[in-house]
Amino acid sequence: MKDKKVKNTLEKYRVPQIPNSLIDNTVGLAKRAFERTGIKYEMSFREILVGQIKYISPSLWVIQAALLFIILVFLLVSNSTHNAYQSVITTISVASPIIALVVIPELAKSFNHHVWEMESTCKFDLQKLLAIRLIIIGALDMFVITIMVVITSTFYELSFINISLYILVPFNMASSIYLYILRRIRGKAATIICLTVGIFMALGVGLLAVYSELYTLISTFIWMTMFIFSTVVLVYELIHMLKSLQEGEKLEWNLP
Amino acid sequence: MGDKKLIKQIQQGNSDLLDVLIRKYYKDIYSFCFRKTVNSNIAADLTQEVFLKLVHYIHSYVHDGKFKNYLFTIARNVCIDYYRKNGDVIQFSEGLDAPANDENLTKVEQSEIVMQALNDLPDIQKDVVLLRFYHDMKVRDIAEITQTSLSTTKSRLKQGLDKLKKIISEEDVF
Repeated sequence: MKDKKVKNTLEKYRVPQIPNSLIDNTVGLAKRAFERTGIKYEMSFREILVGQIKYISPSLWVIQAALLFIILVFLLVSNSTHNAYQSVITTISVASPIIALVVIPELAKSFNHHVWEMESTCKFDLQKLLAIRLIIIGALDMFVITIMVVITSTFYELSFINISLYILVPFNMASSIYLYILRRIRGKAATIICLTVGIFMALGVGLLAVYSELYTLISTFIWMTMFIFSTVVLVYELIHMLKSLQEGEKLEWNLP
Repeated sequence: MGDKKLIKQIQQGNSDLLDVLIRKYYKDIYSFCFRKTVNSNIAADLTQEVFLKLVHYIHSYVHDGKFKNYLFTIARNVCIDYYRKNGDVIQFSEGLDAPANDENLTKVEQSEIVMQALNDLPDIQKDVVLLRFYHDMKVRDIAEITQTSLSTTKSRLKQGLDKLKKIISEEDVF
């Protein structure tokens, strides 16, 4: 007897008709059991990251793009000025604290709109949410800085490392100060103070850059040391900011 | 919607899609349980248990193979547990309809002979034959469900088929 004939013979053994009520009953029970289990779905890091991008205000992308465009215009126009080097140094020095500044309203919006308590009760804790937003915003800033560095080192006789340091040191310092303010002051006042400090910093660094010789007088080693120091301070501020959120949550939830 | 997407959305909390998933596989699982137990009531209970177990484990389910294989693995384990608790005695149900004429009589006779032939097989061979011939599964998938090697599954299938052919050939109703 061949396999096909066996199959045909086996097919003669039929299963009785299944009443729809049985299926409906199983579906109902399964749904109820499912609702009791709660959601335990562990999203991958990529899913969380992509999911959070849509919660970042479109105005941030627009402002960053506009800022990048303005910086590039200034950098390209600097080529035709009589002191191109000084002009470039001034542009990148002023731009650094501003690049860090434009993301502040986005970071502070949870507190400004008093929704952080609500966010704390959601699927992810506020710490995790803020850390993810910082990664997205940090990546965006790094993208802008990379373009600035590449354009400047391509069109002007400035080394890639030096340009990176000239941008990153004030960027790190400005970011650390903004995070410190956000950590210490809550509400709209934090954004206003950050904006004020940012503008003064940009002006201060811009004035300093007028004496562009200072930038070249300081050796790359010292720039590197300043970069490492400012990075350490920035990381310290980031950790403290995330920790302060957790403390804030505990304090708030324990209130009588 | 594919099984992978369906399960992912259920894992994310969309309980409505459980309806789709259960209806998609209910008949398959019920048929398997029925042929294992030869009792429609027990088969319905076991099918329900299979889907409740699925719901229980769905959050830890990782899609790295065929979902159907995963579901049949649960079904097979549920049937094994049932026999472990209730002994190996098969409780025949009213399942097969009473014949109205000679043609139907032959059909019922044939069905009963096949049923008897299948029940005469040892469980390890019966599972392989059921999955191969009633659920059109590949030997590789059957090996995954029965948690045995490919060669063992092939050998069980051959032994089971040989036995079936012998039993069926002895009958003159086919």
